[in-house]
Amino acid sequence: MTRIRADRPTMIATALALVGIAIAAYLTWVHYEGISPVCTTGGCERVQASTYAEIGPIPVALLGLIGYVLIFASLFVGGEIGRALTFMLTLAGFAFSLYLTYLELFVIDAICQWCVASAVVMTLLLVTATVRLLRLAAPDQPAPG
Amino acid sequence: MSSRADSKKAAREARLAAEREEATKQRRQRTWALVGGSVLLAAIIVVVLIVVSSGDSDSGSGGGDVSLFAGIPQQGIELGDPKAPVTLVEYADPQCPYCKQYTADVLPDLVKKYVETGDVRMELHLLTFIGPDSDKLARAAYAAGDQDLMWQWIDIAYARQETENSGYATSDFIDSVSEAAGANVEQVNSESGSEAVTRQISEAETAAQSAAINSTPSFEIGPTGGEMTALNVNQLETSEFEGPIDEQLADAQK
Repeated sequence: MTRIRADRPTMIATALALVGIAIAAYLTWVHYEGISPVCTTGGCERVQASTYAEIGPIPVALLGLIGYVLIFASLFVGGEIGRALTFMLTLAGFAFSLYLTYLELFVIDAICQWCVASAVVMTLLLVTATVRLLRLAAPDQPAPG
Repeated sequence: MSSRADSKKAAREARLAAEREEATKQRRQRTWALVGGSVLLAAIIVVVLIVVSSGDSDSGSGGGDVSLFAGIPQQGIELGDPKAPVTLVEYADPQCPYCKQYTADVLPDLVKKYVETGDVRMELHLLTFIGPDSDKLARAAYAAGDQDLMWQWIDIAYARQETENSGYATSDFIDSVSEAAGANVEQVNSESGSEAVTRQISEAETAAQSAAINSTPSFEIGPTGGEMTALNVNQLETSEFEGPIDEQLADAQK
């Protein structure tokens, strides 16, 4: 019987992706239910009602959910292509999170705790994905799984 | 003999070391190529998302179709025949993009089908939770209501809505909306800071709180003068409103 053993950055990234999926799924549910998210910062409602809460017909929360699911799935793609895919997705997610945080701070003028949590998770995912990818260049690196 | 074996061994080790070095070099090159490709792809994705997102938040220009309200009784926040059997209450923020969507896509249908016919009267409660521009716009809209032009005023303001909290609700913007709505511009400006308008904003907030309104646009429906109940819609489409309105009208005829 073959046991698949994931390295530590992959395990951490998997856990982070699951947290991201949970956050984005909650925000997507809240969006479609038309209710206010649980909020301690007081700005969630304003962010949710913002023009920027949707891109075309797609809520940003749903876009985030799709992104996290893709990141989660990419962690199970073997080889260097899999690692590069995770890195690419987390880098895109991180850059878009930066843009959304800028909008919150300087355009919408409100902070949503769930968006901040998602941005933190995405940042940590980028760090772990970067470590996974750069380990390929390290000498005597076993073949990635 | 041993020196020959030693030199063979040394040569093999040197060859293996060179191969290892070459392999490491190639691995590094491949990894950096993957990093570069990933960065490029990620940049393309993010730029597309930001461009589409910014495009969505761009404002429209021009004005709403104010001819929609021609000939329909209007008084303050109310639109339609005061004796209409059913009342539809809307809670909205002037900067809310979904309120703009409702006003553009659904309101005209409802006005033509139910308000013009005298079946439904509407009330508009403007809230100001999005930011300072909301307050300026709501004040001017309520002030236009003093001239019985609130519905025209807010229709045009939605059609010209810009990025929220960008400071777009300047005095020039408000004056141009007032003018397009056919209101007395000076009267709107002088009235917008009045105690009466402040009271209307406060009353709208109180009404929203007691109706447990937590997002905009939100709606209530009920028999005119009777108890209002929440009208929850999944999509801002006319069909979502027709069913509940028809039910209320049927109840009123019993």
